[in-house]
Formats: sequence, C-alpha cells, structure tokens
Amino acid sequence: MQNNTLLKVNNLVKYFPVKAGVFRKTIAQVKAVDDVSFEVKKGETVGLVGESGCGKTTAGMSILRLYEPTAGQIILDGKDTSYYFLSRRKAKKFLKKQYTEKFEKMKQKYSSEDQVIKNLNDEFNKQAAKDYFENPHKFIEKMMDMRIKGRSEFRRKAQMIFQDPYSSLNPRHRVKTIVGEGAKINELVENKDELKAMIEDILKKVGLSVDHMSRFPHEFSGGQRQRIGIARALILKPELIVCDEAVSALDVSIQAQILNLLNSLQKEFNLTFLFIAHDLAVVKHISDRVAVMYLGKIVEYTTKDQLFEKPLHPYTVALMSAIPNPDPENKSHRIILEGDVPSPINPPSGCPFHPRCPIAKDVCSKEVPQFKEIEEGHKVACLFPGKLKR
Amino acid sequence: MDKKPLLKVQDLKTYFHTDDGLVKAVDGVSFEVYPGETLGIVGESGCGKSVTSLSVMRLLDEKGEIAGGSITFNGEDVLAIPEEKMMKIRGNDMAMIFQEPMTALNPVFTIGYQIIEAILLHQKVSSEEARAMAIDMLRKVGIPEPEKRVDEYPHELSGGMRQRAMIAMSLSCNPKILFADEPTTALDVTIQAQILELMLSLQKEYGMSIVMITHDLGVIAELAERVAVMYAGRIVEYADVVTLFKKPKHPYTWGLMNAIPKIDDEKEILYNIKGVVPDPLSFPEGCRFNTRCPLAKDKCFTDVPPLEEFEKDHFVACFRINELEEMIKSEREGELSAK
Ligand SMILES: Nc1ncnc2c1ncn2[C@@H]1O[C@H](COP(=O)(O)OP(=O)(O)OP(=O)(O)O)[C@@H](O)[C@H]1O
Ligand SMILES: Nc1ncnc2c1ncn2[C@@H]1O[C@H](COP(=O)(O)OP(=O)(O)OP(=O)(O)O)[C@@H](O)[C@H]1O
Ligand code: SF4
Ligand SMILES: [Mg+2]
Ligand SMILES: [Mg+2]
Repeated sequence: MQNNTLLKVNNLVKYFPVKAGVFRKTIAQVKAVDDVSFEVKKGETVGLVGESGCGKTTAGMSILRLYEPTAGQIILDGKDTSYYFLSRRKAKKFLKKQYTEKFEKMKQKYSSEDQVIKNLNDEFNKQAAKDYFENPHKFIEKMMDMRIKGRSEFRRKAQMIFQDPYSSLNPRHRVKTIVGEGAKINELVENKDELKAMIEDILKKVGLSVDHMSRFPHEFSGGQRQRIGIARALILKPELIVCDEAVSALDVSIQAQILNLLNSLQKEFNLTFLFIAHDLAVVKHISDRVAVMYLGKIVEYTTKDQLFEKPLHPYTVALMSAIPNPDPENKSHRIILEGDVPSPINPPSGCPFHPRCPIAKDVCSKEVPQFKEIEEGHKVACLFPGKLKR
Repeated sequence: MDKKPLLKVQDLKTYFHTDDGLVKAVDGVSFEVYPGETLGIVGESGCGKSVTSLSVMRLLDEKGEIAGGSITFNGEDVLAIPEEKMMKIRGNDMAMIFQEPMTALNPVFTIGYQIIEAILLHQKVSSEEARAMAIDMLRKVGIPEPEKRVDEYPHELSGGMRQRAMIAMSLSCNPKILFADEPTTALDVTIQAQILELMLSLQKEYGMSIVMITHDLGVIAELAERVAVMYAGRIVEYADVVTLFKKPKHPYTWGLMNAIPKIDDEKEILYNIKGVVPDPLSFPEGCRFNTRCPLAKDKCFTDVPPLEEFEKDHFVACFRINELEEMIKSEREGELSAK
C-alpha cells in the first residue's frame, strides 16, 4: 500500500435481512452496500454522493463498524481492521479465509511464494503475503493478539459526525461530559484538571465559548450543536472522520460557518474526511475526490475536477445536470431521468442504472459493468462511459 | 408592470400568542403576484416564509392572529371573506403544496379517492367523470400506470411519487395561484428536477401563478421571475431575479449569496454571516439584522428601515445602501488575510 493511503475498503458488502411471518423468517435481503471498493489518502476529503437510499450512510456505518459488514475488508493505517470487532471464532474464520486459504491456494497455483507475492496487486496484500509465508502460524497468532487492542485504537482513530446534531447528543449530559467522555474512556488524560484543560482547548478550536461547558444540548442552536458534535469527535485526535450529512440540516449561513471550520481543522490536524452529503455544491466545495453511489454500488470515483468537468457515468451526468444553479442568467439544462430509484431488495439485472439510463442498450440489462479505471485516476462502472452528453 | 396583480399583500402582520410570549413571525410584509408569474420567497429557517403563505390562505392555527395589513386576492378582501366561502376558494382558486406530502395526504384513503373527493367538492361533475379527471391528472404529473396507481395508498408510493400525487391533487381544480412551500426539499436532485420541470410545464399550460417558498437559492434562480428575501419576519429585499442575484443591495442578501458554495465558482472560504438569527421572542429594536450586520450604525439600532424603491422595481430595506460597496471590499480583504 502506498504510504499515504489511510483507508482502504475492499469489496465491502452490507445486507439487511427482511423478515416476515410469525417465525420472522428472512424472506429477502436489502442489498444496501453491494461490493464497494475505494481508498482514501491521508489528509484528503472524499465526498460520497448519491440519491436517498443508495447506501451512503450504511457504507459509512459499516466502515466504522457501527454495523457489522456482511463481507469485505477494511484497512486503516496499514492494518487490516476487518476482524477487530468480530467474535473470536468469527475473527479466526475471517483470517483463515482472507489469508491462509487465499495464500495457500495461490501458492499451489503459482508454485512459488515469490510468484504469489508478485501476482498480488496491492501493496497491503503483498506485505501480508510476505509476512505470512515467513511464519504462517505466527502471522495469524499475531493478528489475533492484536484484536482487542486494535478495537480501542480503531475507536479512537475513526470518528463520526452525524446529520442530526440534536438526537446524536445525549440531552441529559452537559457539554463537558459529552465532549470529555471519549478522552476519559480512552485514557488520554491523567487527571481531572488535564481533562478540563483539554475540553476547554477543543471547545475553543471549534468556536464555542468555555462558558458553554456546563450547559445542556437543548440550550444551543443547530450550528452550535454541530460544533459540539465536532468537538466530541476531535478530542480523540482521530485520523479519519466520517461526516454523514454533517451540514445538511443547517441554515445556509450556519452551514458556511461549519464548512469553513471543518476546512481549517483539517489543515491544522491533517484530518481525513469521508464526507457524505447529497448537496453536490457542498461536496464540490469541500472534497478532493468524489465517489458517486447508485443502488449500493460506487459507479464513479475520481478527482473533484474530473468529476464535475468530465463525468463519464450517465447517472453522474444526469445528476450534475439536475443541480439547480444559483445563477439566473445561466440556468442548467436538466437531463430528466424517467422513473424512480429502484429497490435495493430487488436490484435490476445487469447495470443497476439501466432502467433509468437515457443511453441504455440491450446489453446493459444483461452484463454487469465492471468498476474499472478508464483514465488515470478515474474509475467508472459503465459499458458506455462518456457517451451521454449534456 | 401595468397588469393588475392577482394577489396583493400589504403590510401583513401575523403574530403568535405563545406561552413564552408574543412572536411577531411576520411583521409588515408587502408583495404582489401577477397572473402567470412565479414569485420566489427565500430566507433562512424561521424567517416567516410558511407563515406568510398560511396567512394568505387563512390556514393559521388558533394561536396565530393576523394583527394587521390587508390581503387582496382577485379583487376580493381575503380577510373579510366568510370561512365557508374561503374553504371553496382554497380548493378552487388557491392551492398549496407542502414540504412533506404525508401531512397533506390521508394515509387511510387511496390517492385516487382523495383527488376525486377534491374534484367533487369543487366542481359539478359525476363521480365517473371525476375519476377520469383524477387519472388524467396523475398521468400529467408523470405517474406511470395511473389507472393502477389511482387505487393505491400513499404508503405504497415512493417519496417522489407521493409528492407528484399531492401536486396532482392541488392542481386538479385548476387553481389561479399555487403556493409551493419547499415542494422539493425532501426529494433527491434528479427527482427534484422532474418535479420542477413538471411545475413549469403545468404553469405554461394553465397560466397559473406560483409562489415558490424555499431556502434553496438554486431553485429560486431556476424558477422565479421576481424574488423577495425575508429576514426575521420582514422582507429586506425585493427585485427581479437577475438583479437580486447579480446586484444585491442589502447586506443580508449579499451575505446569503456569498455563503453558499457554487458549482461553478471555486473559493476556499465561504462568506461567514456572523452570529445567529435573533430569537423571535425578542427581536432587536430597529433593523432586525443589526445584530449581525457589519454596517450597522446609529439609526440601524433605533429605527426600522422601510422597504424603499432603490431603482425601478428594486426594493431594499436598509439605511446604509451606499456603504455596501465598502463593506464588500473590506470583507474581501478580510477573507484574503484569513488565508
Ligand atoms: N437498519 C436497517 N435495516 C434495514 N434496512 C436498512 C437499514 N438501514 C438502511 N437500510 C436500507 O438500506 C438502504 C440504504 O440506506 P442508507 O441509509 O444507507 O441510504 P443513504 O444513501 O444514506 O440515504 P439518505 O440519503 O436518505 O440518508 C435503504 O434501502 C434503506 O432502507
Ligand atoms: N403555530 C405556531 N405557533 C407559534 N409560533 C409559530 C407557529 N408557526 C410558526 N411560528 C413561529 O413563526 C416564525 C416563522 O415561522 P415559519 O414557519 O414561517 O418559518 P419558515 O420561514 O417557513 O422556516 P422554515 O424554512 O424552517 O420552514 C418562527 O419563529 C416560528 O417559530
Ligand atoms: S439597516 Fe443598518 S443594520 Fe440593517 S442591514 Fe442596513 S446597515 Fe445593516
Ligand atoms: Mg443517509
Ligand atoms: Mg417553512
């Protein structure tokens, strides 16, 4: 793995069972996140956009293990964290499948360990294979030993800021408790005075007054509550922050304040953001790269400039054209999509976008387009990328 | 404009008597809507957009009171119309689309039933004819297979389809004016685009006037011909859409325009309107923007700036219009030094 990759998500899957009947039998699966892979570099902001219900929140929550993923690998800071939150038995099973079985199978195929390493396509797995072949037993043992410690480390390093700044703050706790709790649990401080100093420091950083420490969340405005949420995340000195619609519920003027704040905090602490939002103008403002999701899959992923100037997936093109432009002399030429977003319980065959796609051909309903790099740093999942013009 | 306005609101004051005190939610608002045009009302949460439209439709709850001003619709004094007649007007000549369609649709009846009821209440047609009209309307708003959908319940529809069903219901009586209160805020952009396109084409077809209420400046720029900007219960600026976006004269409007990230305009720092909206229970004396305004001085703290015509058809409520250029310059410099 390149040194500057902070988060790497491989083939993430999250299904929710749909249960019915007296025996609560599972009758179907909501395929909320269905084979999602991407990576985020240290210090960058990756925007995650897409229509309501396409799986953005589920992806964020699964990465942070607030949901248990159905499958997939989540690598943070060069460590496979996928098994940290699994039970001992499940963790062993995961490691066996992800490493032992995979590497042994490859060894049979390629006949030498060196060849296996050479044929692995990412740096993280190359290193893992090297370590594994050195001493297979010890490799697994060591990973199992790291499990519990890894958990608390992960909980500190990866934080979330939620959409609704009210319901995500405990109404019965004072600001100092809400903000200081994490620092106490993670033993970042030695004593009360240190904790107090730390809380004061962080409140100042997010633009809240120290006099606010003893107040309750309901005594604050929406923008201030969002600052409390940010302070709570920030106090743990995290590396990755998932912002789920962190400014969507705020008024325009307050939204500007919070966006400016996130920007300056990012610079100061070299933070990495996964920024989930449906407002494309906001996403464009804050992101370095943007991933577009549709029905549980990433359909396009590239730099912000590429995406906004030269979108290649027809869904992205339509999405861009639909953004109302706050310039009355330069109205957008909307591409109107037919129909509604289909259900993730029963996604369409072939390309999930084909029933609404203005340029779909017969083959689109049969063949699943691969998510692949079409130009340098520009990945798309479409059989006819770049064919839909504005 | 020399046409006669369809709706004329003058110095409207709507107050709420709450347990905590008097909320002057709308305090001296005046505007006109001409036949076939779209007026946009923008402003941040709580500035009185919804209360303004609810007042015009006389749909305030018992705590709310129209404490002053006049509303003239179609030549009639709305405040003097008996409630019974008002009910008829609401279904016939005035219609409203709400932000959350579930509040307007009854979950226990099929959408068809609800549209048919609305038609029967206001028009002299047989129930078969009404059903045919309902299906026709559902088709017009872009609901696929309307013959089937007409018998479905609201929860069986997606959010976008529900919104369209509600639009169908509001439009089934061919209103002269449509109040659209955040009609697309709850929807995705691609679905929003469908709905906006639909409203535009229906407006062309029926020639109705639209009052578009939203906090989304993008939607306003796309749809409105004239725009009123509200702040804390008052209109602070009122102009045609191009003037308002290109040459705003009120410091609040200018701030609002520069606080939003724009798709085709890269800037690292967004303009920051300092502070927060004042508490409606204790609005400041004088100009209500004075707690956040970089230009506020002397008179701003004692007198209410009147909404005056600054240039033809461009109204601004600010004592210090002439100082705005200076403010913009110094704010820009401030931004640069912040970098
Ligand atoms: N806990 C859950 N149980 C069952 N289904 C769920 C659960 N959470 C989400 N889903 C379903 O998974 C899909 C993806 O939902 P998700 O909340 O991730 O979407 P989203 O992209 O965040 O949408 P939004 O923009 O509306 O927040 C939806 O169909 C949703 O109904
Ligand atoms: N029924 C009511 N009782 C008491 N106060 C009310 C009532 N309805 C509205 N208000 C108050 O009137 C003011 C204006 O509210 P209004 O709903 O018009 O705001 P808005 O501009 O539509 O905001 P939003 O963008 O959030 O919809 C607010 O301060 C609100 O709290
Ligand atoms: S009247 Fe005074 S306080 Fe109000 S906007 Fe103008 S300059 Fe600012
Ligand atoms: Mg979500
Ligand atoms: Mg409202």
